[in-house]
Amino acid sequence: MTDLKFIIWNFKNGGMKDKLLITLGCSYTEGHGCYDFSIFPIDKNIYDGGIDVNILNYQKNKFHELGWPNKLGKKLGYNKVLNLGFGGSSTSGNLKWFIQKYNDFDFSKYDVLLIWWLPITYRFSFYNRDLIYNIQTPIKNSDPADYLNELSKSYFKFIGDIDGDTIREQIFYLKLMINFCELKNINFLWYNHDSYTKKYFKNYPMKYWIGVGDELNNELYQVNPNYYINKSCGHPNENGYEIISNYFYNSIKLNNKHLINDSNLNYFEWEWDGEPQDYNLEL
Amino acid sequence: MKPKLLVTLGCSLTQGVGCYDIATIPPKYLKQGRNNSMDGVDFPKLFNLNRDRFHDLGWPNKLGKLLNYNKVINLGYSGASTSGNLKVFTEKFIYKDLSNYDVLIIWMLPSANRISFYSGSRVINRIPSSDLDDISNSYINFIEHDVIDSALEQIFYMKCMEHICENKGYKILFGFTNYEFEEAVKHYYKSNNYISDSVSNYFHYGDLFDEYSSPICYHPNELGYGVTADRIYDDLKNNYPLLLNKNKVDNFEWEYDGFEIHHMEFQKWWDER
Repeated sequence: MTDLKFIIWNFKNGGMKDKLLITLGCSYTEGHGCYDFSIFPIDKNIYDGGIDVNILNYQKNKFHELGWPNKLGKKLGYNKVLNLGFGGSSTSGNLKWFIQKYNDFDFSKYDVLLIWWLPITYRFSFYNRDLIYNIQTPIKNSDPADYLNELSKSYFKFIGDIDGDTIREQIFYLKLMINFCELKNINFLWYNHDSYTKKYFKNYPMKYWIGVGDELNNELYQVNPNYYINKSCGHPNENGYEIISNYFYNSIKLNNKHLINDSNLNYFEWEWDGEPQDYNLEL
Repeated sequence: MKPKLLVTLGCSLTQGVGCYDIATIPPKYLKQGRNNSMDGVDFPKLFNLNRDRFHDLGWPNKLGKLLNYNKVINLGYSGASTSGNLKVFTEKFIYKDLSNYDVLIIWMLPSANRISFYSGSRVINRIPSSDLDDISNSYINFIEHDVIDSALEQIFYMKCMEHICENKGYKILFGFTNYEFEEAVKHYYKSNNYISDSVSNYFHYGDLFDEYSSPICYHPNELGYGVTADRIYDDLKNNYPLLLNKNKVDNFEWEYDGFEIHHMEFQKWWDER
């Protein structure tokens, strides 16, 4: 929305701010799995290689359009969704990109809700050639390429406890995000779908937990996976993301009703900005 | 008026390493000087024997006294990285109530290319330029621009610390221990929180190096740290005069709190699985 449009809209709405939903996370937040199979082989996914770049971009745009962030944004009555989900990203990589791009963003123009679907804990990130690189530890359904990455292998050897140590790392970044949101008056909620990690997330960070537990995973992967999951990549399909957005919405309605906008929406727009860009440095 | 608290973060140069009691050093190692290989020396024992002295005589307490602050809490830790400093600080201080104090945090940033991870339920730092283990080597091999990529990493953690301090109402100031990284960080991040916009010169003593340094390593001794504290004080006096306390304090307290937390509850849960 341009500044002028914003001023007019703001005036008409008695000074009420626009509602902005920011979503952060990995492929599940980017929307991976929402393929348009009318132009794509049903047994393939975008990682298979050899895909025409236009088709790749078209499918990715479908992901961004049909994933849970936009569905939830509409259910919550929000005007804008800014989706920063990025496939393969790590917890630290998510926060680095968010801070790199939005550290100086004027959030005060909006009522902001930020939802962070935390990536799996055993990914980490470093800057390389002034760009954020996410690295996955070679464990649990890893891509074979992860086993070839020396840094990934040596990290796996270095840490003592693949769960406890990586979760502790994740909690560190979660606390930094909570602090940032408190500072900027951003409403914040987080979710992760690895229920075994919950026992570590005690005390303060639990205050911001979205409140959805194992029941969502059960519904997606146990009750009716044929309906909710895209077999070619293991991510939810559009039906799956619909049920995810329902769970999130219902939990917000139950625990954080004040975050729901009951007024009529006069516009809805969305933007995906998940892929880290370089710092534009003079190297 | 609230009492003044100075919290210091950094690496060995903030921990105060180098302030050895000469009487504790075996004469033959004194003779070998700074290139001492330390072969056969129980170095951890020597370090531990002098640790309280390091904490007492490093620059943080000297600066705290120059500023007329009531208390210094030193989180400097030998070998620490930027991320490791912030991890320990976050664990110990992010939910701590310091509202009874006016808080100034000085973060004397370690070399930016140091890294940290939780390992064995605690924060472990690595110095890729000197540690020769797999994780250090593979990090060095991974990044293509040692200085710039490390500086960007450091800038990220600096910003996070700025958020914490702004949220808590603390004043944060950054200093540097390494020229090369300082230059890169200051070039790419125009923060309002540098002790000085010019290059830090807190740990270089020129011709007086021998007099101001430990006889068995390249760290400053208590005289060197005195010079360091004077230099930081001068920069604060010039750039942040309001941070100086004009009232003399009667009781000066200090505390060292730089050790990482070992999360035994994690280990216990893991073992019991």
